[in-house]
Amino acid sequence: MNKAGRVESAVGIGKSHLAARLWPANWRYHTRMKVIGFLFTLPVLVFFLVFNIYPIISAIIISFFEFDLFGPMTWVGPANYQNLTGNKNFWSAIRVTLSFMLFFGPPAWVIGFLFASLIKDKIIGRFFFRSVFFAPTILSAVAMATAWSLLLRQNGPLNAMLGLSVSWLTKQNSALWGIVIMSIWQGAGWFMVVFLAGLQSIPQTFYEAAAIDGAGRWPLLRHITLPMLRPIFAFVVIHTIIAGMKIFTPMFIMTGGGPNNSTRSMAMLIYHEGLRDLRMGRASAISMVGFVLILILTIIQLRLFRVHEGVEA
Amino acid sequence: MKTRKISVIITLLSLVALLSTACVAPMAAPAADMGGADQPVELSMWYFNWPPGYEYQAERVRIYMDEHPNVTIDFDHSIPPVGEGGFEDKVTSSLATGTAPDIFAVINPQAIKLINKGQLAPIDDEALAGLGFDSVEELKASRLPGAFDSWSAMDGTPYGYHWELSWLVLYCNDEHFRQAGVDPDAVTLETWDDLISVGKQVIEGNPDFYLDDAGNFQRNFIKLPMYFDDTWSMQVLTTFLAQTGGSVLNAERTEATINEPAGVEAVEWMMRVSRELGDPNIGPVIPGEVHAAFGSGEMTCDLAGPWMYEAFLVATESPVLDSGYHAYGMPSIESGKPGNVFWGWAWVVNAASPNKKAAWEFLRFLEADPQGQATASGIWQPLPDIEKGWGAGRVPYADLVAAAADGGQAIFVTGHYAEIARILRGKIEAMAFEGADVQASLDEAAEEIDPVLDGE
Repeated sequence: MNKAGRVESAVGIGKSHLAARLWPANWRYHTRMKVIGFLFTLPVLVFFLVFNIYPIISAIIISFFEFDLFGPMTWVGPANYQNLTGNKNFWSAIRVTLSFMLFFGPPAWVIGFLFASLIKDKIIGRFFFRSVFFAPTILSAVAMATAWSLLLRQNGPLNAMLGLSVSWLTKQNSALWGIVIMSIWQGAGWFMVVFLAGLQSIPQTFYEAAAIDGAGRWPLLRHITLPMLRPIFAFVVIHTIIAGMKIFTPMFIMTGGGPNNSTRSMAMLIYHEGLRDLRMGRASAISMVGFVLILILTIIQLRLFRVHEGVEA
Repeated sequence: MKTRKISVIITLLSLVALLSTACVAPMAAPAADMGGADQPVELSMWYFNWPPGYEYQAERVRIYMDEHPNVTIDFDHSIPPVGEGGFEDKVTSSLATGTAPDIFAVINPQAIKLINKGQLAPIDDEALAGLGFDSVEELKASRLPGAFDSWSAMDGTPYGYHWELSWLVLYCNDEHFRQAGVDPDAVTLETWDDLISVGKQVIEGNPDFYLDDAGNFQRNFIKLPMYFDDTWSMQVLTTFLAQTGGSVLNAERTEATINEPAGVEAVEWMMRVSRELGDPNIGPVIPGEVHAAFGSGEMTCDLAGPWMYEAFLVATESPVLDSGYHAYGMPSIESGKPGNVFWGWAWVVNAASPNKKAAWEFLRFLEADPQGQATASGIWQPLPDIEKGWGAGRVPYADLVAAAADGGQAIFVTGHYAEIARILRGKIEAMAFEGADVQASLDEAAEEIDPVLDGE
């Protein structure tokens, strides 16, 4: 039996009567395989269309309408976008979101990288430490946010431990920091796993060759580890941008966007505009701006890392 | 090549279909009433995941179905009230998509939004018959004055049948008073000045409990339950406004009046109580945690509803039950000029329900045992003299708790409630946490509120 025959038999569509009814006789093997492949991916494709593409298309359309969820949609053209330019809540939410990304990302990457570097070697208890460092990532975000709002009280355990008297969550200039600290604690373990996978994929021979040439720890890190991790860095930056743009739960639970809206992120503003104030048009317009922002930031960082399909250019 | 074309065509057709459905607003369910006598009726009902409430309701549902074999009630109480608005958002989105139940609970500041959008069934003749009343006047007379104010349309038509009406009551821990040499039975807390005076006396009498070595607050004597939560902020604000005669909006709801003298006076009193008897920056912030702090003995006094005894003391086996506590009614700014807030939850019927008659009949049964409800859940219906009954009367200081409702008024009613409450809450937080000037903050609030009202 040739290759085509083996595959067709394997999927039960060989030269049976059923196959004869299903496929036009003049279809060649490759054509049939493509159709079969398409049929196999159809459920996922339908799922993707319904739950991803449809909401995106809906949001684009609704962003040009006035729509309160209950009444008819009224065409307003680009008015929802134009209104955003003079909307101080929108600019405040952009500032909060970008600040969160900036203050959360780099420290979480560094901590995640340090954890990964520490536990990649065969040290005693490394599986225990991996579990401990990773545990916050899999715990309920709501539960963690609730617990941290207790820890971050002015007369709470964190201040007592550090000998500080900071009103983490009640002052406008520190509330976002409180949320950032919680997010770093929760997110560093995830970055650790990503960096660990990257570190373990670097061939040991590179280090051995460099060691023979007399390279110390810093040159090894600078000339082998970091360059080899460039695709990983690109990935974590994109992940941080996307996660940062969607940040919602810590603000919702820990501060409700306060004090005085100083921790209201874009996702939370979208929630307020859409579900609380019933202005789906404006909420959709903000979503679209967020989408474009993610796109721009991702393109910029891809250019910076010069990564194309996972291979350095 | 041909297969590729077919794939592209299928994908494009799917996208066109999705695009066309994206442009179509959700269809309302048919509104024909199916509730004829002895006809099989299926009702659906939602309440949020609060055990003292839903356990009582579930028992009433069970009894009703036993007595009415033709009625099946699908009661979902699994919806978590995580953060502010979790349950309300679920209701809003389900109404928008035509998947809302026949019966659900609505909190009063949010009711007008749904009434204005035509989502709730009015209490009309059919509803009155189902509830057992001859007229709207009779229905209103059966409840506390003003109880229906924020579940009514602008023309006065009521839409909600109360499950709960709450107002604020001052509760204080006896042990904390005694430790400072203050007799809780002897003190009079008729005005806020009285409270500030007694509070300072208690703090000075037991400084190690309230103050650190540097003389800063480490515990609050009282913390107003109003931060990081729009509705709780409005509850406290409305209480003080009711005492000064101030208001958030003018009568026509076209302009903010919160920055006028009566509004400023109300907020200045809120700030005085907050800052002189504690530090808003310390301790719990979210209202539920503030009540829990009173229940655990971490805070001396608290403002909470009539449900405090059952929901926060009995249910949590609070040590305060052993050490003792007093309910002091509601202090006022001027003696003899009471003022309080009315808020709470009412049962409403979906305007699109095909079973409205059966729904109202069931609600009559659900609310027919107010004393049993008060005992099981701690929730009081707004009935005159409810505190004299066997259930509500079990609550310590029930007379004082009931008397605190004097001068109760609804939180401001407008379809833009959520947005305005968020603005005001932000200003309250800036004033309390960072000492922002009251008049300037309220002027800013008014400037932000007025454009919102333009769309009223």
